[in-house]
Amino acid sequence: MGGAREKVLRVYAYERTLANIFGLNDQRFMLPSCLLGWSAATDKAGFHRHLLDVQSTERKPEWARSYANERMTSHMAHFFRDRMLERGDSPQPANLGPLEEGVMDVLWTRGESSVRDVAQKIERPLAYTTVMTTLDRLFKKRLLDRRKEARAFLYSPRLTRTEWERTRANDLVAGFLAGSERSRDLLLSCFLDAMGEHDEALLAELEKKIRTQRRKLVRRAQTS
Amino acid sequence: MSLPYLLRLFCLCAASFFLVHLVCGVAVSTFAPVASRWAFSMRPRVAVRFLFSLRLLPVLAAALVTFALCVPSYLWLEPAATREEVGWPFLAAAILGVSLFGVSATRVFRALDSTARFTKQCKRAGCDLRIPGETSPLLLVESQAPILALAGVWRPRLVISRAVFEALSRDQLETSLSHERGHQLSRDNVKRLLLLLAPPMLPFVAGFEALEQAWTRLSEWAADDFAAAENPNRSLSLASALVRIARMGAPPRLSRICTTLVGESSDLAERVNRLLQPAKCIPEPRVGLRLLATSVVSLLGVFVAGIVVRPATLNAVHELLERFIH
Repeated sequence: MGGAREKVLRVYAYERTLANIFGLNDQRFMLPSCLLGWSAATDKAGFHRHLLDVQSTERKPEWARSYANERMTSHMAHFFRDRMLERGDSPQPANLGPLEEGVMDVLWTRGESSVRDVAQKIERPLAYTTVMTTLDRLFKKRLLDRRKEARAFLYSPRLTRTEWERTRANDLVAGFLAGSERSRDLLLSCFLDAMGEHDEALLAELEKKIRTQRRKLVRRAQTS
Repeated sequence: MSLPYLLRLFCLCAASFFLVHLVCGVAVSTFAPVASRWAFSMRPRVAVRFLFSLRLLPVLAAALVTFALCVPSYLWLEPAATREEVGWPFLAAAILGVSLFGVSATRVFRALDSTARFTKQCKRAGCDLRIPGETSPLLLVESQAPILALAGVWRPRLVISRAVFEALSRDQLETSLSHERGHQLSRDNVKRLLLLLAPPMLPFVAGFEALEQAWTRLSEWAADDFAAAENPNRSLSLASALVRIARMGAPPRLSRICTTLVGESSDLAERVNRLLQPAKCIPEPRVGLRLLATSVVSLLGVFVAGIVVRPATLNAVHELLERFIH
């Protein structure tokens, strides 16, 4: 049970990340429509439909699939290369450790804060100096801005949470696409698998809820 | 550039429409996130009306200003049969105004064409099916695709594929058809057409996606509520029908003026959860709100009528237009 739930949540998170990668908040973003020759500007719902369609390409002849894959990979590569070029002087992409993530969470929630504020709000008890070092490290990674006020530094995040997640996801995918053809194929297949799992898990969860609700209704009808 | 009288009038209409539409559009799209949040706290039936009015507000305001102020002042005060020089900003605004109409017309034409083709195809490949309790026959299509849609604008037809017809139980089918009937009764396809007809903010920048998406979601919710009719058993049947149809795979991409039962798959979980949870008691809109809306519209009408019949206003508008044109 717990595992299934975790899986659903994990796939949700993955889906959100993918949505960020593809800029799905932007309605006019053209998906790698070459996959199926679907050429309309799309929305998130369309994206889901599109992915379901993608799964159905398995029924297409081999040459069509290979052509579609090639074109999609090329589209993705161009897309991510452009986004990397656009970035300029933005924060260094890096993986955050659990402590750094905790600190960033506090700053994203509270906004500009001092070391003391962060130390008080962070979930686990930490020494003041540990928080200070962590904040300094994040500042050096150019993830935070800071200004001095009354002999203390006030730190604020340079990126919003969404922007950070998008940057991280871009780096991840760009890393894959910069690799061999094999790693690109791996990415694509993971991508499709995840979406398939997502739909399957989501529908199973919904069916379970419906069954539970039906049982409740039957029980209620019997008691009354 | 020198333009004759009538061509100037045409350009004036396009340019003033464009400018007023742009100003109102920016205001509406700035207010859109707040309006959407507000709409989601209302009853869906009321919320769709609110969002629909808000979406059409820029086009109505632009049409009102153009045809109630600009055109009368031009016809009344501009000397006829003269050629006049016009400025480039005015021409650019006119071209953008015409492009807005061009974009809308293209969207509408494509949507109507694709709906007509879909309906024709269904009629050719399907047959009429009478179901007890249904006032008009369904169009049963021999297809394995998960289709349950309301197609057509003026006389919409319910289209159902053989696969869906066989997959759903009697209750599920009944509530699913009620859902589509809900769309039919609230004339959602006509509204979709009007939304397509309403021009975007700029020729290639829609600008109203947030409002339109919220409207689409809420119109589905409103149709769900209509089908469920506050009956938990019916809600359950509709929820299970939604999941069953979603399990059948991706629905074919239909025209933007067709409503389908499981069109917005990203909203599926939310719709099912909504149907399963006990109905939240959202109060009906207060009479005061309606009264306020009616009063605002009436006052606006009186105001416009007042300034139109007062010649000084038209003089002022004409002076403004003269500056704009040159």
